[in-house]
Amino acid sequence: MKNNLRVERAILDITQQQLAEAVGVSRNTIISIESGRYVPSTVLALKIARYFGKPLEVIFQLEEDE
Amino acid sequence: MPNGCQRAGWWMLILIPVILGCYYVLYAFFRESALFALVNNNSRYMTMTLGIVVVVSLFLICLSKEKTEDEMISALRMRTVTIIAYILFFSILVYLLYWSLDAGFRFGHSWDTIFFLLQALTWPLFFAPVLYIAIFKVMLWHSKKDERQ
Repeated sequence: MKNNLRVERAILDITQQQLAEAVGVSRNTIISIESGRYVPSTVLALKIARYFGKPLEVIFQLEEDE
Repeated sequence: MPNGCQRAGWWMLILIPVILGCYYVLYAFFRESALFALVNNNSRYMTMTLGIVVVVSLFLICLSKEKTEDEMISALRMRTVTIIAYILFFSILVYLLYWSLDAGFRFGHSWDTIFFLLQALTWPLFFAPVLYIAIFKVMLWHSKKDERQ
């Protein structure tokens, strides 16, 4: 699953730490999601989407082969 | 368990070599003393106590939370448990296949063989938490590598 978390963060001009605190996870988790090493749970994905005020599909998208 | 329990577990684990060191000092320099005689006469209790301390400290380290315990840490724990399950399953399988033949030759096919095998199967009690700590800490360190950069 790919995501454009980095782009969304840049639009709002917030750091990884700020996003992590807002959604209640560690900065390490945000780094792992951004780099695609960790796929968040539905709850966390929805929290992130809510934080950015956008639909889930805008931030997280399935790969072609998924 | 809270993160403080993990610290307590590490301190308890550090205590073991300290106690063994004290015992060695008594053995090397104060062998004639009454204290060494007292300790030596109760060595069975000392071994039992040390064993219990090791097991309790290992489980305290394994079961207590990290400073920031979130869903990614839980996923890492789950992955670690899965790896350990595979390692233990295959090592016990190899152990049973190999040693059951060996113990069979030594004791014959009797209850002694079964007791020998069951007695030796207690080692995962020590091995599993040690493996868990090692694998989990390595995975955690690996996942935090990007954070440090």
